[in-house]
Amino acid sequence: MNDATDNHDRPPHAIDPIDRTPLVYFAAASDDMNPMHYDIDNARSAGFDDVFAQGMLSMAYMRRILTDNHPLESLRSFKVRFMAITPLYARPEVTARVLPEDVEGRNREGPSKSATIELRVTLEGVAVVDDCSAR
Amino acid sequence: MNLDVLVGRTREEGLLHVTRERLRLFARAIRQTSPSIFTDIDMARAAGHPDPPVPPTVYFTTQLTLDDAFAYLTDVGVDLRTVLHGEQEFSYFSVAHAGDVLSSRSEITDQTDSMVAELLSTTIIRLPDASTGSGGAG
Repeated sequence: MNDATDNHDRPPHAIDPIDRTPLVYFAAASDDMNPMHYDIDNARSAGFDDVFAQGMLSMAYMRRILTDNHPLESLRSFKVRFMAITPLYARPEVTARVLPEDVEGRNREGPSKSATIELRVTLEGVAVVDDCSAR
Repeated sequence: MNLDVLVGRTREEGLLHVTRERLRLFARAIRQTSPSIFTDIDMARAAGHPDPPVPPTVYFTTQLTLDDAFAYLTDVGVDLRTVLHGEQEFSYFSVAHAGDVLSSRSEITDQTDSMVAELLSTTIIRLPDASTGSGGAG
């Protein structure tokens, strides 16, 4: 578990290629029954070559790098923009970087005791975590 | 398509009974096969949780447990094949755990004509038959 204000970049977290199986598990686990993610006929009828991964699956991969490195209670907010669809058999790599300033632009060396972490997969996101070690 | 008609509408209440089994299924979906506080009761309790905690992105499922979760869109003629998830944001106030019942209330707060986008504001609370406090919002 790292200090939230630890400025070292996290090592990239490699994800195995996303085949159809995790898409089905994720649909069931999340109750997201949008057939675009598991029914190739539905995907083709909308002009896609094949099904593609749920955006929230990518956000869940991001979440893992957060909770692997920070206590759950320290997470204040978590926001992503879905920049592109994640095609079948993609091999996402999640990276995380602690930004030098928090989301309100304050330098982390001040009393704010929170850090903003920039994350990337096929989407961009930021999370704010409290520095629990300072409590 | 003009989605102005949606602004100000509220969605039906979504309810999620968080179970240990659902949290294990989530872990399997992201291939988190090694035990973690989200799946292992002993590890969760060692970390100070009464039961495995809800992973921070799982709260969005409180909006999806309805029989027809997207009726509010299809009712006004939206083809769900054209719908893409644009952004997601959570603000956290406390952590929910397996055994909690979460309730979500959503209001469509805005929409952008040019991109046919909508903004959905959702508040998720832990129902009072469990302990006090509130869950996440997204």
